[in-house]
Amino acid sequence: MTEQKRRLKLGLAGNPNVGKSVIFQALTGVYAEVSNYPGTTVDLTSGHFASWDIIDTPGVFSLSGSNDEERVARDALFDCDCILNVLDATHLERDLFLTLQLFELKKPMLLAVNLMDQAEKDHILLDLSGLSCALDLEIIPLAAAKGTGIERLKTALRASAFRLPTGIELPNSVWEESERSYLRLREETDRLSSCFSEKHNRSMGFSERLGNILLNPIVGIPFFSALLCLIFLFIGKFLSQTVVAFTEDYLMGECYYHFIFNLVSSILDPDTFLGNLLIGEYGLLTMVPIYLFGLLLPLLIGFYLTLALLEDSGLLPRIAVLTDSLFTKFGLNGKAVIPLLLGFGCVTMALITTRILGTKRERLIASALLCIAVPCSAQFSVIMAIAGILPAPYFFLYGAAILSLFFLLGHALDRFLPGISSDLFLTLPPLRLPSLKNVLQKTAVKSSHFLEDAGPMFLIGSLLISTLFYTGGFVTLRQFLLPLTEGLLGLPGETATLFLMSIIKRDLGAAYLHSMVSQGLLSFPQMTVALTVMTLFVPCFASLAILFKERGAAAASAIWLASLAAAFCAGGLMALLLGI
Amino acid sequence: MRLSDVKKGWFFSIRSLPPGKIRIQAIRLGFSPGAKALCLSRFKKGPVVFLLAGQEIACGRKLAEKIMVIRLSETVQNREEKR
Repeated sequence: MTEQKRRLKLGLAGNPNVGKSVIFQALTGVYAEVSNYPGTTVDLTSGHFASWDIIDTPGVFSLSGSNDEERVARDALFDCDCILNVLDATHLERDLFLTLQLFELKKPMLLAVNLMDQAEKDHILLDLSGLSCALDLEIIPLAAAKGTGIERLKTALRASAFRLPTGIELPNSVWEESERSYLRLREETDRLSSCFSEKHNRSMGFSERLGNILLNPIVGIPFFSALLCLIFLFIGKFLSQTVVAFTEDYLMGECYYHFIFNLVSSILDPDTFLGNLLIGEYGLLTMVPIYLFGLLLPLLIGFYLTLALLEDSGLLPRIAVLTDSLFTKFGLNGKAVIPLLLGFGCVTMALITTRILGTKRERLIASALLCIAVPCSAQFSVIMAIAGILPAPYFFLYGAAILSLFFLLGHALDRFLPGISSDLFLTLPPLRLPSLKNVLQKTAVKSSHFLEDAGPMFLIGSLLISTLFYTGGFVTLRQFLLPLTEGLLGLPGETATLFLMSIIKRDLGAAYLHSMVSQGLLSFPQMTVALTVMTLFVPCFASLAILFKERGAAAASAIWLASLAAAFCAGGLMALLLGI
Repeated sequence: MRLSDVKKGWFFSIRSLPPGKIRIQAIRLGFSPGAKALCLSRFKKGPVVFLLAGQEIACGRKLAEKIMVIRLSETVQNREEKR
């Protein structure tokens, strides 16, 4: 305890996307999520280096507390003993603004100017020693992604090279969100950056030119559509057919299943309750690992890999610009593409990311769309896998149903919710070639998070269903749901299991649907209906919990009920249409 | 003229910003009256993208309609195209 007290707190502060998380990781060895788009760090991550407790704060442009990130960053920095301010060498005129605001905290500071390699490439001349004298602070040049300068930074931290900033006189209350103080700060920032950095005229670099070309709708829209097709081919064809055939059918379904079945049945009668619980159709040792490792894990690794590449390359904000005019029709702006796209990964995570949206109204619209009309990664992968089997007309019908519902819902919410939404105002990070190490690390972290998160839910689901099955409660439930399953939707009674599983965890339901399809239990029209219902169906427990926390009980219950209604209405209509 | 009327390749300087939260957000990015920028891309009924002090910024349509700017000159590239 006393050991803890003697440790000093060091806050890492900086603009979004300047490499704070990379530096944090280099110092502490703790993985903080690194992306090439603003708003990756919404919560605080902490780690240790030498005698310091290091806290990674969200990237912000200022500390006035006008949004969640700024509030989180400001409160965290208030509590710190010292501040390490990270700046982007290529954007000093932008980043020094925050530096000057940090002065107001009156804490000892150290500056680290990152991306020096990029500045050199861009022919930007920096006089860091001059700036260091002017601010009366030590400045460490870095190229953190390459590891250059990290040793020097570590030495400076060990030597505690922090100084109280005294070099610049600033007006009081620079934190106040008043225009006068902001203009004054801006003036000072411009003066400093023009004194100590010099930009030479140069032709546009390749990445800038590419970034510009992608913002041209004639090139951008086909490019991103092609990218989506490529993702479909990768996840929907290659992973879900070739790879899963090996992992689920052969590796887990044959090798592992026979091994575990023989092992357990040699000491236990498989027909007893315990036997059923362990190695029955929905058993803890059979269904759970086969679904988790054989089916979902390979699909999710592929999905997270794709998402990490999109994030790190800087393509995501450009997609936001291209889709802005579409989203304004729903009372959202292009920024909403980030949570909605993340929703295809995990709705739970995406619900948290809706915080980046400007107003309460936008957050509510995005949450409703996410919970009702966006399938999560496991579902999405299964949808893609089934799309590989389903004849094109059926798949288009499914796609059209979901898309039109998405549009209708968005439109209706925009029409009837009071208030006005904010406009797009977004800084675009430069296009970068993603670092392989970072992409792989992020994929690994997200995949293991998935296992930690889904594992317990799968176990609970397996226990519940096996028990229901063994005690005959299942037959009753199935009988009870018959008017819904067979009557309304024209699906076999087994789909009751599907719904039950989906309520517990959407992925579990997705996996069950996949096995129903591969067993040939469903005809093509039935697959279409089942897919529709499953996509629209209620969010899983975890999402529901976040939904209640972020949106409040009334909105959350309304969204939950609406998704249930949407699922069965759309499914019923479709069954009618297909004449099941 | 309004920012929403600016065409791709135009240099412009900012004359006035609408009041409200966005004004302060814009100033902190260096997007204050007098600042010079280059329009990189403009979408029909969509956002305007411009380059300001080495930073690319996208601005939604409705907001762009409320920002007043002064056109400075055409880029060299544009002039060449005209020739």
